[in-house]
Amino acid sequence: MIAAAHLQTPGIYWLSILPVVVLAGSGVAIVLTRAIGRNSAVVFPVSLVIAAAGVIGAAVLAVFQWVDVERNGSSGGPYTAIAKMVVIDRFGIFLELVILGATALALLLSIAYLQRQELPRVEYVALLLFSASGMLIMATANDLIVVFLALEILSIPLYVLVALDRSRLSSQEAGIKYFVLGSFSSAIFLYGVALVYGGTGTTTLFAGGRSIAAFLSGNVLLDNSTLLIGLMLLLVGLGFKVAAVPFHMWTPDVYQGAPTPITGFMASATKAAGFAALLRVLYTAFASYRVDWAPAIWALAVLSLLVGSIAALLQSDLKRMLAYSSISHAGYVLIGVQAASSRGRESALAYLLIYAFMVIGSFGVITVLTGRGDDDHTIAGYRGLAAREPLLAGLLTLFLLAQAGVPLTGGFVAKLGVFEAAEASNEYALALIGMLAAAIAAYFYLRAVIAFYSAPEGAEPDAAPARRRIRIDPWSGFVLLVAAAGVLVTGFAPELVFHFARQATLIG
Amino acid sequence: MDPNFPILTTLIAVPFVGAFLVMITPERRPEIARAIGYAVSAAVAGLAAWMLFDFSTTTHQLFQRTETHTWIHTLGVNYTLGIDGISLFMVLLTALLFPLSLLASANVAVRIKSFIFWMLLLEGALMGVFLSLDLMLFFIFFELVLVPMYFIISGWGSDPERRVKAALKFFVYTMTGSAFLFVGILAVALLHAKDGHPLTFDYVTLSNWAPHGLSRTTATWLFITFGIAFAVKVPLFPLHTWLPDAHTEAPTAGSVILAGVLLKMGTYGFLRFSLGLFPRAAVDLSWLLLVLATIGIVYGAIVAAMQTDLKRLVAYSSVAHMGFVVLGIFALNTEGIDGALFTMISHGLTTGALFLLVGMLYERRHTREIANFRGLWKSVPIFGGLFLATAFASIGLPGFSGFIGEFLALLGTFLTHRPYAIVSAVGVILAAVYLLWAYQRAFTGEPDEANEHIPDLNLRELACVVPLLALSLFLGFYPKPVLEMIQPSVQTVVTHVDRSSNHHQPAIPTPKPAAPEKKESR
Repeated sequence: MIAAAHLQTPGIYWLSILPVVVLAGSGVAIVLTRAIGRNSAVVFPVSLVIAAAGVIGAAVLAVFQWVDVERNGSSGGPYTAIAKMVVIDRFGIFLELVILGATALALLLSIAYLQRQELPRVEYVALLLFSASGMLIMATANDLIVVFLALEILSIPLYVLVALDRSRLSSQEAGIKYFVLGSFSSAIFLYGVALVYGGTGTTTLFAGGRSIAAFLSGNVLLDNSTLLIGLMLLLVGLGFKVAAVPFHMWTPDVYQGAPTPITGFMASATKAAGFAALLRVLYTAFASYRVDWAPAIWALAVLSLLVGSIAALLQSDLKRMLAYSSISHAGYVLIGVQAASSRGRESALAYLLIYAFMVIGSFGVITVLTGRGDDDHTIAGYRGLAAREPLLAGLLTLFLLAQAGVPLTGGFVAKLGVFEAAEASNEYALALIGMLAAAIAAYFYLRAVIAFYSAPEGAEPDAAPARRRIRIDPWSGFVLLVAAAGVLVTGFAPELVFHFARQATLIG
Repeated sequence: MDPNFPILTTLIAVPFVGAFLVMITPERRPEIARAIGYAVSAAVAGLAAWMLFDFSTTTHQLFQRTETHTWIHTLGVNYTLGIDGISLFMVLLTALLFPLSLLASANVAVRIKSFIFWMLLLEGALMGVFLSLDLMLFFIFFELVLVPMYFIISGWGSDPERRVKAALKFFVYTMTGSAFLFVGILAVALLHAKDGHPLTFDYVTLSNWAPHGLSRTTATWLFITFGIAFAVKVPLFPLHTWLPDAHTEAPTAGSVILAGVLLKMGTYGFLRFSLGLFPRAAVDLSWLLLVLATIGIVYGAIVAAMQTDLKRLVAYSSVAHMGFVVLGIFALNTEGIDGALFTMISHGLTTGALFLLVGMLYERRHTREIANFRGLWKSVPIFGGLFLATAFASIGLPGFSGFIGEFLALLGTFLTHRPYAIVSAVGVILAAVYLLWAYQRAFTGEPDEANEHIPDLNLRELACVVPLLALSLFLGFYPKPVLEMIQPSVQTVVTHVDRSSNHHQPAIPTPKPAAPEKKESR
């Protein structure tokens, strides 16, 4: 009990939260600029500069943390700060960097898009930064309450972003759907936190002294049903964020309805943040409960793989198909999580990094291809793309083939990593199911690819205006270049990724 | 040749570099892409021929010209290449068929640049398949082959609707097979690592460990995972259903490479990896593969005889021929494996030539229905003569390479598994039935209106087919150099299998392959 008169505040080690502070601060600055500058034409460029400064600043600080973490702390390793609320380890920093990278790419991709779609531009940038700062908190949270806070900070701006396109009904619908289901899953998560607290008496994930991990390794619970129910509810909440089956229902509608750059952002950064929390909760706090959670993750993985890839077969809309494919990709990361080994952690991290390149690349090409409206993404509408836009068609083909796991692209290496982790933990059946799902997935990726390279159907009425070539704006061009380079470099020199993923250890 | 020159890497890299060069040529100048295609594939053929003369049959090394570099250290994947008598001829076959099929594609009119690009990529990937000595590297190339082949079938096939379906079927079918292979490869390497060794996918290390390191049950399961992938590729009955569609819909060059080289990836996989890693399981399950091979031989031949489409007929004949290869391999003795390898080479030459000829006929008549042809012998005598000779070569008439291969394969099977050999021998006769019957229907008689005025083969087309036929004839009369070069490697495989299982070769002296003309014809 804390006496109100004698409230003790924890010491704050600023470096531990500086990236978040910088990023959220830049968001605040943008909102202020908007308030001061009103509708002046310079507001948007200025807000972009502030956003760039924020993202770059946060990334530089994260890199500094990466180097610093091995020197700082009492034992020269990962450490917790601010009353054990925050943990600084290379695992969290790795994902912070993935999230920041994805944020930067999504921002660059949005510049021309916002202009074209006439969306509220300045608010968009600020919301994106707020959401990203929530994700950063998520990656370094060491307390279930902080995880919950992060979940809300990242979600609420996303609800708005998804629904931002007021001219499109599907965007509105997606926003409401995401909001209702998202709040619901947050509530379930919170209930899980309460039950875990009831079972262990603490919400700290991992620390010396009082924490869930310490409690569980030091005590044998005679009746752990409260704790287990709590753990499962946590899995529901996080499973929702990473879009794992059966908590995926929102994904197709939201991915399809959201502005395309936001879809790319959600598929890469939100997934990374969700998995950051999932891995941390399971690998640090509940490491001793592996026998209990591994079967649950096994089931989630198998369901995500099969439902994701089979449902994608039936889609006629490219964005919707990619939404289902992102569900199946969550399944692959879950294979790595399920392995419950350092190899599993490594491979999941590598997967998230590589997937960020692939998925931002895919949605990036789609963004560039959208005219005004961002509505029509039927695969049939993409027929004949190669004849109109050979470069963009080639890039999209590269990204889709990479997602299918074709060798010498990052997609193959990512899968190799998780399957190796699974089999090293003797999960042969899981690996086989995963590979068969990949074979199914190849079918729908190729079906889309072949549409680009076949002639448009009959005499399409809008074939003539579409024939004029799209000028790729330099920012989007840069994003596509980075994504393509990322996919290829990770494919040819995977050691670059795995070297850092191996170093990205969790605390403990 | 400088012994340190990385010729194997060069063989893989040159086509890839060529593909890159093609990619950056302007779309409006297809002749540049075409020239690069010819030059690169010819250069690869030259390199391969150079390697042939440099190949040593007296060395005690298992593999020659090996190259090893660390690649993905964390995951234990290395870049290891090497060549032995088994892979040598697969490489040569690849290097030979590519320039010829590019030459045969001179009439490809649409998207030439992309076509050459995919062909060169395919060549590089195939070289990688046959030269890799690291299991994961092998798998990477094995999978990579699918992509260009998929685009070649779906982009330049004959029927715009069916080719897409055929290409998808090909891709998904083989990728499903590969799923098992991938899981199997990872399992072998990780079981090896759990046995207290460093994680590695190195074939030589694993093949020294696996025969005694794996339990009999595990080895059997792993043999099955590898076997499914290779059986789809071969293809073995009943996993062959992708083949007729893919072969028929593919453009000529695609069919030639598909039949000539891609199918060999399956039998090569059996020979190198299934026998090398799981010799005991191979002995235990040889009955299953012999049964499937025998069914394939007879079934393929009967179905081929029923075809009305000439290209489909040739496609089904591949099922039968590849059955002989599997039969020879799982006879598990020197004669059988010698025969299997020889049939692989011979099938690449003769079926390649057949597909080229069928393609040339299609270019002239825009149909492949046998019923639409009549009296071609009279209207295009050179073509008719060449087709007959190629048909004989494919049937395995003594004097052609097909005879040596099938004879040795049957001989090997006869020594160890007599009943299979007796049933399979029927396939040889059936081969004569379907090809000669088709020949009779299409080429004999008086030509009708449609078949009367078609041009005979030109020089370019002759240049595509004649080398293949000549080689087949040469090897049919003088197989000794090839047999001598594959002998040490085959012997190593057989000894490896013998030593790791209770299987032993029948105690008879190895018969020296006699010159075919002294044998009685069947």
